[in-house]
Amino acid sequence: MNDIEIAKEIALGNQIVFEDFFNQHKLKVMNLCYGMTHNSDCAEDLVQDIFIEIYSSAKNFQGKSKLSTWLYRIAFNKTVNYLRKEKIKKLFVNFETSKHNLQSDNRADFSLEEKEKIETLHKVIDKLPSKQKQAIILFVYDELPQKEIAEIMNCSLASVEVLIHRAKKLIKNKTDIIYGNAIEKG
Amino acid sequence: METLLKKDRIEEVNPFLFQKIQTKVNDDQCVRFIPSWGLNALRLSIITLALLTGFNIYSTYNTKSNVSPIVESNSYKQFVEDYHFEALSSLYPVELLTKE
Repeated sequence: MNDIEIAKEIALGNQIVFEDFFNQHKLKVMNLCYGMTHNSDCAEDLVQDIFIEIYSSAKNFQGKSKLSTWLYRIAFNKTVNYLRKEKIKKLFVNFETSKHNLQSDNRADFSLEEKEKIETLHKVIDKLPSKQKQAIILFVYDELPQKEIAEIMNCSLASVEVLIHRAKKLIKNKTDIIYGNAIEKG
Repeated sequence: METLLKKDRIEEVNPFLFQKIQTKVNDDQCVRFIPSWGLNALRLSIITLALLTGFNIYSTYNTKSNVSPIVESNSYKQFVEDYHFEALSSLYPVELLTKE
């Protein structure tokens, strides 16, 4: 089944095809959302919204790009909109309350030192320019090939390479300032 | 850095996530039993109602009546001048009038 046929089946309400499509991409979409929000609960909510959007707008898919590229674009836009809304909320809601909303996960599989380092990395990633942040998350969290990242971001392969290189350099510089070389060693 | 971030990746998704999505999709479809034109008509009527109410409130506070109050008319002023004392005496307590 090609991408247009899959989209057509989803638009017609074929639950089996939709479930297959979901199972194929759920982890990558989840990691994209998690990489952007650093909170698995928010990421799960976003994944729900994204796949509902896919279900309702599958009829609009024209096959100009791969279905997965279209999915990642929708996922990225939804996540960016969510983060924008959270930023606006922060202006009105008590700072402590809103901070609590987007707190990083308390992962049981990490040691205390690793948790601290991960939180620092999250903060550094959040401060990256948006294009660099998008590229590095798609590269590291989703493990997508640079060619596909270029398609999702609608730019050339060379610029994706530059974005990823710059993002890595910035992250390294900032973490080195905070921890010395501790993160690199860890 | 990359090793740490790779470790930070989510490896499994809530197994009930697809069920949740299906439920939401079905809920959305239930809502769509109201046709879209019906929702648009409802929206339009609410906006019209709000506008009319707003205009009504605005007009009650801002209109200057074309009919000037009777107190401001010349004939009333003339009448008050002519019958000033009569008017006052009718309000004067009867007991005091008889005493005087």
